[in-house]
Amino acid sequence: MLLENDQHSKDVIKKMLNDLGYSSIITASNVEKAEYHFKQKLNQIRLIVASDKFGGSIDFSVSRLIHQKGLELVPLILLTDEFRSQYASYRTSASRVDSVISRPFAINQLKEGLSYAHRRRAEYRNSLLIVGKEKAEIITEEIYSRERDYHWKKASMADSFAKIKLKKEELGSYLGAILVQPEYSTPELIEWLTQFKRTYQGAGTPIVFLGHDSYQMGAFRSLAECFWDKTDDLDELLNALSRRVRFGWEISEKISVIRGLIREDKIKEAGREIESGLKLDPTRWELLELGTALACKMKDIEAARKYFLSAHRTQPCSPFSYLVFTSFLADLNATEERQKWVDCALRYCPHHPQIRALSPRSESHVSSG
Amino acid sequence: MFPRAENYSEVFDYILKEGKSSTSFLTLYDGFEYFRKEYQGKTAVLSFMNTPSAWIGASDPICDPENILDFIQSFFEEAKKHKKAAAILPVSKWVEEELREKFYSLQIGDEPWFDLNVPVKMPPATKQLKSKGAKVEVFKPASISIEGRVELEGITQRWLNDRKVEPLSFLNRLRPWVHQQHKCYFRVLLHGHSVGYLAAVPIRGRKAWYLVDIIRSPDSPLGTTELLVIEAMNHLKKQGAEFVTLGMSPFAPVSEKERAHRPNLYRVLSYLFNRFNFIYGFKSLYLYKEKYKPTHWEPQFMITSGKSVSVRVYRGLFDVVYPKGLFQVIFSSLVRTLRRLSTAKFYRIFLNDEIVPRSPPMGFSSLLLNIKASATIGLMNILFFFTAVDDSSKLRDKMVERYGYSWISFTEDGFFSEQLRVVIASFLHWNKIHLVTNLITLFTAVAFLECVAGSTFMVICYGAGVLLSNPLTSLLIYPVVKFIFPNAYNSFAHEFDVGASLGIFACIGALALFSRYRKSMLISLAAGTVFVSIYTSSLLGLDHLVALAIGYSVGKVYVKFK
Repeated sequence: MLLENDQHSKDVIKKMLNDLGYSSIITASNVEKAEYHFKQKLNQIRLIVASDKFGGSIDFSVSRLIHQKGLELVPLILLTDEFRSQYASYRTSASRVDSVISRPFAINQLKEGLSYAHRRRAEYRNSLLIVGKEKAEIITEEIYSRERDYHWKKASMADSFAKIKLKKEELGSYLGAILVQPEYSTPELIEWLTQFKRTYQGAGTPIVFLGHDSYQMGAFRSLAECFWDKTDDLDELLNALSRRVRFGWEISEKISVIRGLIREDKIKEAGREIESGLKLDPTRWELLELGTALACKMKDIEAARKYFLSAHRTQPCSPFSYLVFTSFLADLNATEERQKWVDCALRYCPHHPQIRALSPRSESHVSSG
Repeated sequence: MFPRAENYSEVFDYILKEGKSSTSFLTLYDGFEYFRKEYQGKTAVLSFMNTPSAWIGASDPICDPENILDFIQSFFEEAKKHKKAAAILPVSKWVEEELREKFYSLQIGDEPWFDLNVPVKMPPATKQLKSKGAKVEVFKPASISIEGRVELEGITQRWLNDRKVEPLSFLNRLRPWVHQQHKCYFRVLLHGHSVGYLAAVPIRGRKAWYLVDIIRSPDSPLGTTELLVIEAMNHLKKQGAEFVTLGMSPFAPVSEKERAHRPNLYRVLSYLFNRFNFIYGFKSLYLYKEKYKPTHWEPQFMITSGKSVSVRVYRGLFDVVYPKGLFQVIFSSLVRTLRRLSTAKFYRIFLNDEIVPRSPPMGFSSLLLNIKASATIGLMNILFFFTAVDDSSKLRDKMVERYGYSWISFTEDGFFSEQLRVVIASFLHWNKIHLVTNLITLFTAVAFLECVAGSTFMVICYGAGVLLSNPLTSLLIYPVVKFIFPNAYNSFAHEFDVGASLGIFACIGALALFSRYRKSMLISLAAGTVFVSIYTSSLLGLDHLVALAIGYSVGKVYVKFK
């Protein structure tokens, strides 16, 4: 939602937001219209960009609306004519304004502002919901032993479906991630999680399957963003999750940029973007997967192997990595290694048609390049 | 004449009951006096306004056709007795026909009438507005909430402020809440808020209504007034009304037959109708009313006592339309024009879609505040000019030698010279023309950059242009003249430069960054600089090219990394 009075600025910002992936932009030039749109399209609002010339005090009018409508997860960006030093008041933790952009600005500043705003909103999503009992106790203990500035502040445990729903309601918009212990996975939980992932909150809430056993995974193959079986290294898991939540928007933005660069064959730029993304979140498997594809394109087996293995650690169920990497190994005639990963792919993605085509029985269908 | 204070209610009831003209009801507002004569038990009444030069009658006289000539004659004679000229407007065709033999008449407009039995087509915008959730509500001002009333007052005020000139008086006064018990009110509600309203006054003598005050908020959606008019017509028809009028369109085109009467005068009126819409929307008002496809138009006339429209009548007309006087009208129009100066519109035309600029200034005071740095620089240039010129308004040689920039002075003093040459030279000008040219550019291009990008940005660009352009240009030219064209060295080394143009060019370079005509701006300015430099044989004149590049680069860096 764009709250701006000036028509020219409105047009330019709309174009910029379109370029940044926001396809549907509602605009309002006064508080009354904004209120109307809040009422009509409440569930569709993902971001609010408001001008400081809009309806007097932003902290009073827009923040009030946001609070009233319960849009706690939606970032609020303020556009101002003031110079940096003059908008320090908005940088306090009490202000609902997540990020301030000073005019004039280009798309880069808007992108920076969006990143900062999403990061700040994500800070509020600091609670974990753990489905299970044994691992949940360890994780809870780990979280409460941490210092105050640690991202995760609270962990809620639920060992039955009824409790899960109740805890989710309790945590509300503070819910940052859901961790599922394999033994507690039930069809009704899977159905509930599938529905939850379709909501705005659900789309930004990673689901972690605490295991790597391909037989136990079942429907979590497509549902979970992360698979973790190293319970002894909880610190790494919690840090990885924290990064996933905090840098979620930035990395998604980077991924779409990288895909565009790869399409345009701008290999070096794509490589630089992947590296800068991995600096933010080294465990983000989507980036590692793209890194694998890029390294394969550059015929760099060492880099490809490094990226592939890192991606495989957190996401063993992504067919794309297997397809790209095994195809590259076939080109290099690394039959033994290829066979190992084909077997692994068949284990984790048994229903994927292209993966099934990799099996020895379908060898004749495998492309050589 | 009616003694106003005692018999007002009697007149009120009489005009309300008998008035057949659309404007009859409006003559019941304050400020009118009433001329009355009895004809065998029947009363004839004419409302008028008393001005220092004339009596200006308003609306059709309420009088039987057989007595009207005598009645109007009496009115004019009474005015004459008071040493006043007289005129009546607007009057209907039947009145004009009765009086045209004896008095001077002129068609001053056309009035659209709608037979409510003939359906009026709904404009497409109204359908769209309805689909957005807009609805028209009939209301009584006394029964709506205080918030609702405040909202309507706000709309009225904003509408009045939005007028190009001082709001008109006489029959055009906006008095929506006066005599409200006799009026019918409608308002458009969108998302629970009023965006426009309409007040209709009765014309009981014709079973008709005049939709007199059609007021909308300046930011109301398209189709607001159309929806009001259509819905009001539908409602009034249900209430038993037979006709509705939208009031007279002044100076609307007249028929060929009428035009033949007074060709020259009608030519003037036609010119006003077509060309003076910046003062009053004669044509747009006519086209607006014509859009509803009225059932018929009724011409409206002005009748005057003499053989032509005398100066006193013109003065009287001006006095009734603008009672606050000529000075107030001019002053108010000037203020309104300045207030309406819309940089927002210019923004859309000039700026590109790569950078979001600062908000355009809203109004004159905001504009002044936004260009404070440009104004300060301009003022300093003026002050320096008057302290540095001789009696013939030319820059004194001593000032040039002491503060002007040249290659020799630069090599002798270095960048930070004792006299701060690069800085002070920028405030000096050769002569008045040089100063005025630079001031014009300063208060247009530089001030615009300041509006778009802020004072800090503008000062950075201006400062970079002033400080760096000359030294950089010299350093670039020096090797060329030293080793390739040694003959030119002497003139280059002793060439002096003063003026604000370097700062201005740097700002224009930065402004190009925001413009959708970036390439053409830069190319034309660069070509112009090279041409002037060659024409005046001034190598240092190329510093403007460098200033342009500096401004553009500084702007790019600032926008990218700030």
